Amino acid sequence: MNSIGLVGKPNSGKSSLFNLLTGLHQKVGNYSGVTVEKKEGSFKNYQITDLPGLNSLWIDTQDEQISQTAILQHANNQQPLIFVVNGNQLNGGLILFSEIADLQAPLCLVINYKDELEKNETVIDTVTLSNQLNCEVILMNSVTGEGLDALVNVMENNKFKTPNSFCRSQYDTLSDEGINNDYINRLNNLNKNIDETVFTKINEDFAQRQLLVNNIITRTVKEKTVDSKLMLKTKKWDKVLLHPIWGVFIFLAVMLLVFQSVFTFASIPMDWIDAGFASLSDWSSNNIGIPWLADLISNGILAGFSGVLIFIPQIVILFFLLGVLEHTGYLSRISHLSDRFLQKFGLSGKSVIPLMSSWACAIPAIMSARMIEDPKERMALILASPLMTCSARLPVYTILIAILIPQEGTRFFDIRGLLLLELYMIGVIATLIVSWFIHKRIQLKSESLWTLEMPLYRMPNWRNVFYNAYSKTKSFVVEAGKIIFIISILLWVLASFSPKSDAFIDKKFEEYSSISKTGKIERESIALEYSYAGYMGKFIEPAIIPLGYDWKIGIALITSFAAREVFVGTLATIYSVGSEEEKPVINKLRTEVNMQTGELRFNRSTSISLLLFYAFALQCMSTVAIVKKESASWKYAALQFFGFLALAYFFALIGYRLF
Amino acid sequence: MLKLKDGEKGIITSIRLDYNAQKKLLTYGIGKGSLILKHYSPEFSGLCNFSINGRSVSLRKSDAALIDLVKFVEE
Repeated sequence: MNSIGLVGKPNSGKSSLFNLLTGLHQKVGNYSGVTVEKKEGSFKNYQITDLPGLNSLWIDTQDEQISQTAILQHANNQQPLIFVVNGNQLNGGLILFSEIADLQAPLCLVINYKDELEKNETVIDTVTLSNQLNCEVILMNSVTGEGLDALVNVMENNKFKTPNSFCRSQYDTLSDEGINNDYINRLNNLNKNIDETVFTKINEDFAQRQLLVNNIITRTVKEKTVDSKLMLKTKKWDKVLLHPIWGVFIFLAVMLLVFQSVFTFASIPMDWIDAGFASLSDWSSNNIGIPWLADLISNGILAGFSGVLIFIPQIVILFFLLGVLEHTGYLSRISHLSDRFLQKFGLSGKSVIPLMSSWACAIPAIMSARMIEDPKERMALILASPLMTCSARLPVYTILIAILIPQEGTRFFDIRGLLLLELYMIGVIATLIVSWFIHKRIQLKSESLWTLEMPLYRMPNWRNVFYNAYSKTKSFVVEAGKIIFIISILLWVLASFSPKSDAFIDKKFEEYSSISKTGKIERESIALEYSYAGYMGKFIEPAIIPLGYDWKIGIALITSFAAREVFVGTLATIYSVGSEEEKPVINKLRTEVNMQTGELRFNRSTSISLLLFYAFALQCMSTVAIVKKESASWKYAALQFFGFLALAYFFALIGYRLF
Repeated sequence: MLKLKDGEKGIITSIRLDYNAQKKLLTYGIGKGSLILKHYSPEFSGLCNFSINGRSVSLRKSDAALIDLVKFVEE
């Protein structure tokens, strides 16, 4: 299979083109650094590789190095590259094109955002440009697919050409033997230790390329205005959205609106799902002839799944709204607004996007830290970002908030939304403090210059926004679903069988019934206490009693160390086993009674303590693995895991004692 | 660069940052002789935004202060 690479500057539309060609759904956004690793897909008999954007072969970041290596491999093997350039930024794009052209790689130039060029009344003479560069030039709109036929024609008829050299001699000056396999190593060694001599050479190289590119653009591009219409529109919006006072208020209002929407619009479909699972469970109990199977399905599997699937509406709404912010270009404005503030904590405005990605999942956020140039900031971000509230925490928070604050009316602004926002704020504050601490303690060299590129404001591509929300929800359901299915069955077995005899449980039931204050003890509750799961929970009970938890919550804590969303499913299973009544999960938990005290099991103190425990604990094995990979050290991964566990215990204890 | 008013253009005459920083600026097309258009540098913000070759780029004011330029007036 022939290999074709997609290269270009950041935010030039490579991933949109990749999706268009391969039919895949690689993440797309309106900011630099969306793609941080190479992605592969196929189109007809071609293997298409989407490479992270880079500004120059003189790289600065790890994601750029991935592209740099791939470009050289393509050049060495004479495998074609499709160079994608943002039509609004042709000048800068063609300088990078010239660097790659001088590697003698077979190329084709795709000028993207044809629609925006038309709006700006910019006309590009593609025939002359093609003759000047000696390669095929295609005007495209990678979102709508306009111009795709021409690109397919180039691919199918192998019309890729080695363009004319720009200033190849500069490369030869930097390398004794010209461009060979060792070339990138030499380039990178020079890049690490730039002195006056090396900089002078790089500067001359850029100046020469700039001159040549300017000449080409003068002959091939006709612009109606110096500053494009879209740029002018962007500047008008920026005046409001980046205002030092109003801009911050707008940002806070937008965030409040997002979190209120999560609660308000999701409540009705959540009730449907909850009621649907209760009916299904009821039906299974009554219609499946084999009692143990009926019990396993209704009180094990269905209870476990309902505990998590109920949160799908909230997850869809949250990621749809974040996707809209991402696609319009507003996320980069948040970076701009927050840079000064974040500097105090060892981070920068560029950390905002990975941090907000952590609201979906810490794993892509940790990977996207590759686009951060400063090694110190990058490490602080990797180690602190799992404290941000990921989607797996959302079910835990929602169920505990619902227990704490029963629904009151249908007003848009209710206190539950505010509490959820507060929990997200706790995540943000904890991330900042931990990041500050890491930045102070870690011994790494800091990068001297910080830059941020601001994309134009664009209308969201609704197809991509919907797909992003769908894919994030799907990944949550599939990943959580696999674990929940296994754990639900395992828990049902552990909670349904006991090492003790029936006679022993009957005796204990009589003992408890005689001393109970409420007199509402069920035999099944005693059976659960003496089941295998009960013993497991009781093993860790001495450690969690100070936090207000009992052995049942202990079982949920143990299982959720694999993935925190399992907590809700486990509670649903544990509190369903032995329960005759089929009612929604939240109601079961809300009415659960502590047998020793006769009080509600999930009272205010315990619920707040649990909320704080889950806000800090790192209960996600996938995150531990990715931190190890990205920091290249088990030491950092272990420190993070045990450090967060200690924080979780401390704050849960404080929460239980204070409330 | 900070002395330039919003909406004014300038030609870079010297950059007093280290070589690594200068190389990074070059990859954005920012070097001696480049023409830039200043967009904004709000008083309470730490950043200064300008456009070059159709790209809108923000720098920290502390770095922007080390880029010298002369005002460019179109005839």
